[in-house]
Amino acid sequence: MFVNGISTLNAQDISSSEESFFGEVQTYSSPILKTYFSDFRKYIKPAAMRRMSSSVKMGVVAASKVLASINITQPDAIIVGTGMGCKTDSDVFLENLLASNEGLLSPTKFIQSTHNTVAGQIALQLKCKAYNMTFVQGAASFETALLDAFLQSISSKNRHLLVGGVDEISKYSNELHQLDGQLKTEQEICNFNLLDYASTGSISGEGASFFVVSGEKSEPSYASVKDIETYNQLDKEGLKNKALNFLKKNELSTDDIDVFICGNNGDVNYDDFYHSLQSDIFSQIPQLYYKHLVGEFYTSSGFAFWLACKILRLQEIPEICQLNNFKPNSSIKTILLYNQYKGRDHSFILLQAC
Amino acid sequence: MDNERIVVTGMGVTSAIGNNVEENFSALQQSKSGIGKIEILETVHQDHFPVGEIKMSNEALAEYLKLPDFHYFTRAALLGAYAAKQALQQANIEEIDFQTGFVNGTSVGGMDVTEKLYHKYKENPSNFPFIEAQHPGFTTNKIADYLGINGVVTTISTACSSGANAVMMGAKLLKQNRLKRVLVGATDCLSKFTLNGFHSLRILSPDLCQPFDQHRKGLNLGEAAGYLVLETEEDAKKRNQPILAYLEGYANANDAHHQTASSATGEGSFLAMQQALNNANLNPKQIDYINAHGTATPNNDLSEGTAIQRLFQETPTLSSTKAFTGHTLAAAGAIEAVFSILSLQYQCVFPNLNFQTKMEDLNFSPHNSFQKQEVNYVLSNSFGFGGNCSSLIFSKAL
Repeated sequence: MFVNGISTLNAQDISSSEESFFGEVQTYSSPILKTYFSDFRKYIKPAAMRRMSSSVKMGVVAASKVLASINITQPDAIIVGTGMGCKTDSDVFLENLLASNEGLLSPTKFIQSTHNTVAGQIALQLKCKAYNMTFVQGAASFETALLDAFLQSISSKNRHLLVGGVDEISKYSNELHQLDGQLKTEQEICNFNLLDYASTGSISGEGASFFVVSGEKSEPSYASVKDIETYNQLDKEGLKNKALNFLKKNELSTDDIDVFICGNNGDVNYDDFYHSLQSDIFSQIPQLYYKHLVGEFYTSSGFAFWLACKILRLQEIPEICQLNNFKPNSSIKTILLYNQYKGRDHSFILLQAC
Repeated sequence: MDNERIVVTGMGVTSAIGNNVEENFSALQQSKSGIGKIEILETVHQDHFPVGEIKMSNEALAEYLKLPDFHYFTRAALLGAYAAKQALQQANIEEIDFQTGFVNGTSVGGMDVTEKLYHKYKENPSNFPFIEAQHPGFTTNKIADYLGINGVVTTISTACSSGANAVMMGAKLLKQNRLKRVLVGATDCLSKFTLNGFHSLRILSPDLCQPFDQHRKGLNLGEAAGYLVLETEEDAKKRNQPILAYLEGYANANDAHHQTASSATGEGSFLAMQQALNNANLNPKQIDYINAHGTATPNNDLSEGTAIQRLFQETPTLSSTKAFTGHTLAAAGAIEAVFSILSLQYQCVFPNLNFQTKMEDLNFSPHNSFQKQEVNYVLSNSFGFGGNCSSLIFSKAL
């Protein structure tokens, strides 16, 4: 499967230039990394935007941008992954319901609360009657959406599939995530030092990453996706075996991997999953991380996928993402992505230059 | 690969009309609806809206499943585990390995605990593990843990078509040889959130629902879980596992009309049915029975009926089973897939209960009695918010 278009919105100033990764890198001193992008009006009519929650806005804009970038008006499928869906609207409807003791309620927030609102709204904006799907499997939401596209690209090659991941920050969720250890509680946190805090949880982010993929290569494609695998649960020994098997299945060995991109998020309880591969089978190659830039959210790995595509296109790695000092080979051909969240929803994605 | 035939080798269901496949069939056969007064869900609307409630408490379900004291299962997870276990048993799947996947559908997942604990998490650290129940994958993970499925596990949430879409995703995973067998289906429990949500849209009926009736007043909500075990025909035959039915075709299309309302012409449902027929390589005349989405809202039944009229020159025997179970949201597509397969297995069609008056805008009436008849192909429709329209076609096992 080929990646023919890419787009991402998150806490960073994503460069509109084809030649660079970011504008000026954004630093944050709190554990909440809101999306940097604000120019929604350029893409959405004010009347339509009025009722849109932030995930719908981010999703619609990321989708519009990627479609426009390769001149596609009607995708042949819309496939979205979202861990939490339209969480804020869902919270508002529930708060009103509880406050009024099930009194008369306006349906607006209920209508917008459904998990497939983003995919539905993209279809509405585009008047697109094609296949429309939404996956909501925690940290594997984007990956299983991509897997769906991958399966479709094999059975029917000449279709342009829009696939993406989106999640929004919810204020109340962040409060709760400080209770259950998902979000760091330090008063001040510098996102650049994310891996230095010896505490549980991570920093919270939001964003949307959308792609146009196809079984057919366009000129020029960013990358080809060789394979995707997800595992609901693995132990560390199992993880290593699955990583090795995954490469073997694709007729590759660890030596063939030029860059290894991991989802390290600074959670002392779970970063060991990354360490177990980083200090072992992938110890001698450039290792990258990214959650210090965009925060942790269920579909933050969509940004890693964007990063990998961009690296293959530019043939360089952003210094700010480097975990070790290894420099990449003169030609970057193969990138492996690995992500998990709290020991669940492990995923591998294998991308190659094309 | 793509031309591999997908078969169903196991089914499990729990709904307001029974806690297993046999009980559900027997209620369908006897025209016995499960819709009645709310008893378990705590809501001020107890006397206002009849629902299809499963009369088993969470405690009883947990005891049946032999869960430990602090299990942190949502009600949807309890119902899901209960029904999924039946499906795996019937398919004789004893050892679960990484070749066994799970595609689950749910609309609101753990909303039952979220709405109970929303302002109370802080009161007690024992509530903390339920904070994660706010994302639907939590409910799926609980079921996966219970069954020991650790490989490909995902959740689809496309509102009321989630269950049908889970069936579709499972079939794709098998066809591309990503798995040997896959558990597919959906679960949803009643919640104040959905009851009040549908009430805010003014589409809940204060009376028993009447799908495809001129005087229909809206839907009755329900709760249910339904699962199928899918594998390839070749694999099922290799292990001498009886085949219950074939999954012949499927499609999903979008109405692209409105976030919650269906278009007057039923464009999305028309496309879903038409593409499912193409996918199955069938013509409309070959469909013997349609298990309609038929929620009994004025909008759905008109839109779906119009689309059916456009596609089928002569409408096949058609009924909605929503008046038995209520509209079980994500689970609807899954339990109705089970009902569709029962129709093929027992060569019968099910009644559309409470029907009295033909709709003026449609040229057909739903079938209103249990009847034995030849059934080779069944079309099952599921439509959801976000314009999401899905159709599945099952055929008789040879």
